[in-house]
Amino acid sequence: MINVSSSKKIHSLVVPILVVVALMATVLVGSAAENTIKIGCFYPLTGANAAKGQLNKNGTDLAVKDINAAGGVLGMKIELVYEDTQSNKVNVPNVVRKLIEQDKVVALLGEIASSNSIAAGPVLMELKRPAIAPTSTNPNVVMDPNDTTKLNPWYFRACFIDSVQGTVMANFVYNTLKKTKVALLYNIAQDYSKGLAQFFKERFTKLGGTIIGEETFPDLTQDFKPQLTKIKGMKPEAIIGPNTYDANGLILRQMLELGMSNIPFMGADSTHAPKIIEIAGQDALKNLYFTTLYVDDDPDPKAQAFAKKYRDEFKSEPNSNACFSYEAMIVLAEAIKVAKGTSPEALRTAIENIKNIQVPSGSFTMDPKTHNPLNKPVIVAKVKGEGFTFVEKVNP
Amino acid sequence: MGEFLQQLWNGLSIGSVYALVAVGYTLVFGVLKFINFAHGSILTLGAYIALLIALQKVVPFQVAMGLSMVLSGFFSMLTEQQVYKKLRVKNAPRLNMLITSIGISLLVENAIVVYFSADYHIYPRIMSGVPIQLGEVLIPPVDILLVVGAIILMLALWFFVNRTLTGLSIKAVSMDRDASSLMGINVNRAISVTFFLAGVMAATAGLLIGMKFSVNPALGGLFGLKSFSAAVLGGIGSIQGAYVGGYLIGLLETFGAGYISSNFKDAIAFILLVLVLLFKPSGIFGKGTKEKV
Repeated sequence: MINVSSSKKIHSLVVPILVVVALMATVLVGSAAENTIKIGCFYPLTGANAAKGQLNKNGTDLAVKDINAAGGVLGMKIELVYEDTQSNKVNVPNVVRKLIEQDKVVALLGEIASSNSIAAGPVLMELKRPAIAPTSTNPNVVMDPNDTTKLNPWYFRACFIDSVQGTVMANFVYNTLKKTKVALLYNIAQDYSKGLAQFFKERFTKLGGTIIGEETFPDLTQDFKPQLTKIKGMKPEAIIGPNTYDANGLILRQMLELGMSNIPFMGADSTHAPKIIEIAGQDALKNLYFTTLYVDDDPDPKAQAFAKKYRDEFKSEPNSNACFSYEAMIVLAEAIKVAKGTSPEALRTAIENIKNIQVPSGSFTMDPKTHNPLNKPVIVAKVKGEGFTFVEKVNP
Repeated sequence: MGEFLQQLWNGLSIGSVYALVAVGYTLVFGVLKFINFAHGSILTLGAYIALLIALQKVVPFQVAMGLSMVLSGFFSMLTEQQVYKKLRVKNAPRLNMLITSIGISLLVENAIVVYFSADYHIYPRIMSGVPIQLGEVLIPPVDILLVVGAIILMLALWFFVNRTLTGLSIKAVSMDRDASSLMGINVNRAISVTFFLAGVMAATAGLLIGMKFSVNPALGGLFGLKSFSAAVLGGIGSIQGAYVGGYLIGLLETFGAGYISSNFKDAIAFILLVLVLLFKPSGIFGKGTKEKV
C-alpha cells in the first residue's frame, strides 16, 4: 500500500520542483530549438488507459534514445513533446492543435484507443501534419472523417487491422494445425467479434476448409454450455472464438468441464490477457492459440534485442504498446531521412512510401493504398505456465 | 441421446441458480405484496462479500462464503427494517416501495463498482474442472455442489416454512397480514425473517455463480431478471412455483439454444413465458385472485 502521509509530503515538493524544471526547460529548449526536430506525442498519460500510455511513452523514448545515440537524423537530434489526452477523446483535438500550432512539431504519434485516434483525424487534415497511430486497429482511424471510403492523407498506422487478424487465424488453423472442419462461437453483440468471425470465414472457406457450425451469444453471457454441447455434437476439429478474454476464459473452462479441452481453440488479440489463466485455469488452456501483436519471447533476434534493451532501460516487461510505439518512431525517423527535411508534404509522401525498414517485429513496408503496414506477419501465441509464449509468425 | 441428456443436465444446473433466486422474490412478495427489485443486488453483494473476506487472507475461502451468506441475509433484513418498514408504517403506496428497492439495488451495485471496479473478478478455483462421467453425461464437481446444494436448501426452506412456528407465522402473514396481527403473530418479526431467508438464498446463488463462472457488478441485473421471470412463471407467492419456474426457465433457455438457435437463447425462454402467462395469468402454481367488491 502507498503511505499516504509521506506521499502527500512528496507531492507538496513535486509541484514547485516541476515548475522550476519546466521554466528551465523552456529556456533551454528555446535556445536549442534550432538543432532539434520536434515530434509531438499525444498519449493517454492519465485516466483509464494511463498504464498502456506509459508503455507507449517508454517505447517512444527508447526509440528516440537509439536514434539520437546513432547521431540523430539529418545531423539533428529528435526531441519529443508529450501531451496528455487524459484517455478522453474530447481532449484529443485540442492537444493535437496545441502540439502543431504552439509547439511546432513536424509530425505526431498517437493515440492508443481507436476512438481517440479517430478524434485526431480532422485536426490533422486541417493543419496538414502527418501522424502515425502506433496501436489503433480500427479501420476508420486512417480514413477521411467526412468520407470513410477515402483515406485521410495525413494519418498512418503501425499495427495490423482486424481483417488481417481474421485472415491470419484462418491461415494458422488450416496450414499449421491442419484442421479443415471448424465451428465458430462468438459474441453477436460485438462488432469486433462479428467482424473477425466474418474475415475468418471468408479466408477459411477460400483455403478449402468447411465451417460446420456457427453459434453465438450476447454480452454478459456466462453459461456457454448449451452452445458448447451442441458444438460437441458436431465433432469439429477446432473451435474459433474471436471474443474478449472474459468470455473465452469461461468458454475454455466449460470446454474442460464438457470433456472438450482436447479440441484446439483459436482466439484473437483480446484473448491475450493474464486474467484468462485465472478464469479458466491452466488445465483448460493447453490447446488455446491466439493471434497477437507482441510476445516477449519472439525468437527473432531483432525482437529479442528490443526486449533486452527495454528491460535494461525500464526494469519491466515490454508489451505491444511499447513495441509498436518504438516501431512507429523508427519509421518516422526513416521518413525524415528520406524526405531530407521536415516539410509536411515531403514527410507525408516519405511515410506513405516507406519500404523494408527493419523493426523489432519484422520488416516494415507502408501500403500507400491503405496506410496500413503491408503484409506484416502476425504472431500466434499460446499459454505457457503463468504466461504466454510464441508459437509462430503467420503471413496474412 | 447423449447430447440431449447433457443439455438436460446443463439446464438443471443453471435452473438451480434461477430457482434459488426466484424463491426470494416469491417469499418477499408473499409477505409484503411487492416486488423487491433490490433482491438481485443481494446476489451480487453476496458474491462480493465472500471475495472481500477472502482477500483479507485470514480465513479459508469456504469460511468466507459461509460468512457472506449470513452477512447478506442480515443486509437484506436491514434494508427491510431501515427502509421498507418506514415506508410501510407511513402507509406509502406499494409503488414507492418498488421505486425505493430499485434505488437500493443501484446503490449496492455502484458501491461495488467503486470499491472493486467494474471488471470481472475470479474466485479461487477450489474445485477441479475435470468432470465426472455419468453414462453419457459429463458433470463437473461444481455442478454437483450446485444442484445438490440447491435442493438441500429448498427442502430446508420447505421444512422451515411448514414445520416450524416462525415458518408458519410467515405463511400466515402472507395469507392475511392484518388477521395474523390480530391473532397475536409478530408480523414485523415474520417479515424480518423472510427478508433474512431471501437474502441468504440470493447470496448462495451469487456464491455458486462465482464458483461456476466469474463475478461482475452487473451479475444481479441479469440473473435477477431471469429469476424474477421464473417466479412469475411459477406463480409469484408460491414457493414450489418459484422452484418449478426456475428449473423451467433454465431448461427452456438451454434447449432453446441447443435445438433452436443460440441467437435467440434469451428470447425463446421469454416468448414461452409470455405464452404461459397468456393462458394462465397467475402463473403455473398461482392462485387466481378475484377482486372483492
